[in-house]
Amino acid sequence: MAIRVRQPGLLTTVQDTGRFGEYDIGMPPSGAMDVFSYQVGNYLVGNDDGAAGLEITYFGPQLEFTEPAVVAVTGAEMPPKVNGEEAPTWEAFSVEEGDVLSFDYLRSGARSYLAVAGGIDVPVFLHSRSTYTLIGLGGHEGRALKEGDELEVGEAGDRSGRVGMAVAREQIPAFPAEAELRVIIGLASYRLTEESLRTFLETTWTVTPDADRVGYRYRAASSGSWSGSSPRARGPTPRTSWTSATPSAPSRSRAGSSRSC
Amino acid sequence: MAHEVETGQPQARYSYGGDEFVFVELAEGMSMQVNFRAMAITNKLKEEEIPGIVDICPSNASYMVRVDPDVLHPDELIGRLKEIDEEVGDVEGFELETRVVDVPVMMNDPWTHEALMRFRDRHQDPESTDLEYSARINGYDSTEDFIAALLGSPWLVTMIGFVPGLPWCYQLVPPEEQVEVPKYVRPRTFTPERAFGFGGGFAVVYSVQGRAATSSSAWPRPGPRRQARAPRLPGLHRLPQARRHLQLPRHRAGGVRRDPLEGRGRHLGVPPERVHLPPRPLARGPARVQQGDPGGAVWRLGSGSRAS
Repeated sequence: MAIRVRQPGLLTTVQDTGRFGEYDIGMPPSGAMDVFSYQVGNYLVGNDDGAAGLEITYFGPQLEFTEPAVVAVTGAEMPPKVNGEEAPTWEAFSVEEGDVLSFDYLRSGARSYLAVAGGIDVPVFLHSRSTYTLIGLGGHEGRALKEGDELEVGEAGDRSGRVGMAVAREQIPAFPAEAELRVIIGLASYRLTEESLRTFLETTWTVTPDADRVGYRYRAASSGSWSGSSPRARGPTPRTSWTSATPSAPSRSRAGSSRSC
Repeated sequence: MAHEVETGQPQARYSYGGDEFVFVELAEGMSMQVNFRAMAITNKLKEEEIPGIVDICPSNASYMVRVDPDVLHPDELIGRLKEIDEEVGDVEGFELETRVVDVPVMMNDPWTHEALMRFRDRHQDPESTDLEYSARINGYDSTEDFIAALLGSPWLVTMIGFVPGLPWCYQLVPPEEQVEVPKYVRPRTFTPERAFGFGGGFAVVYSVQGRAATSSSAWPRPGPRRQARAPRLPGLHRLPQARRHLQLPRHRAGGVRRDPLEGRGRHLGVPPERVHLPPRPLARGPARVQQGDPGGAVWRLGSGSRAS
């Protein structure tokens, strides 16, 4: 055992790059939502690609280390603290036995990542350690962490040389409240008129509280500009779908849409 | 934007799903032939083991392929897919090896009844039950007749999703006999796990509780308590399943209560491993079934010939 969960945070799950190649049995990939931040965390602590880390959502956990470790916190701005003292982000640092890692309130973004040298060692299920909470598979017992959980960390060897390894300031992504998204026009777009498509692309959308690892539902910030449409798609793939005035973007823990057939 | 291609088949639409997915809609409507085409094309693609392909997922009337775009450009893949589409053609004579699974179903059970009554205001006809409504719009005089029609034929699992272990089942009867039930006006937000549901032209068995159910009727499937949360995965997607849904009298469902309808519906009278597909071929159907070994059957698309 290497990490004891004192407080779980709002939704903290074990994730890696994901569980690919299983859509045909209805299994979505799961995995880190913000792949860049997750991967950079692994690079900082010297892990191999695909080592499992913790995905921390909105409100951070309190984690006690029962062994020394080299760790890095990346992703959303949720300032980490070790024993109450501020710790760096996007930079590898060491923790000692008995140290408690906690997080300040979220300043920007939604999900932070904790990489631990050696990786979080939960059982591999279908060639991945990612948690698929909807049906309770993978990760730590198929669920988000709970108070009292104990996590193993993989063999890391001496990683003291990684301490201080940091991402250059200009390479750290910003997590602004408003973002312009790159969109690939594709799936079922033929069901939209050109005007609808233009309106869709020009509208500022607001993420509704109905947003999780399965999908994000959006509402038009400028009301009245989007009246909606009801295209039906016929298979599982990431895309934007909308059934009324609230388009949604399925995400990593979703295999298809409930409106598809 | 979608690419168009002439195949003599219903127009296939090739489109991108983000950077990493190619989505191919083979037809706007579901049919046995189009489902077989999706399976034939994706089976062939799997055999080719093209570098850069991450995931291949056949669906009812479409299929999806995930690529690593650093290795394989989606346009390159689409080019090959169009060729495979032509090679597969109309899948006349295409054979599917299946195994046969019997699924005992209890109709009019208390759990799904409670669920459907909670959402009457979202249904086309709040005054009747899902079963009564479904029987009426499909032209049956009674729910018993409807149930007999629903459970009296084998079904083919055409795809698995959108959660692991959730089978989409297509009724193996001539098109004019196919049961069709619209989805609720507004979807139910709760369906008990292990429910048997029906929506559009498909039956499903909910492997987990449905939180955004859209199908019209649901009846739980009694059976052994799940031993673990994980579905049995090996082989599930390798071999399509034919299913028969058999009505189970209530006294078999954990002794909940005696069923006043007992004996009226078909029910499982022998252990599942001894149940075979009915010997009669589906003479007018789009597919024929031939008895193979007790655990399996060969489905063949075509009107004239029997599978061998």
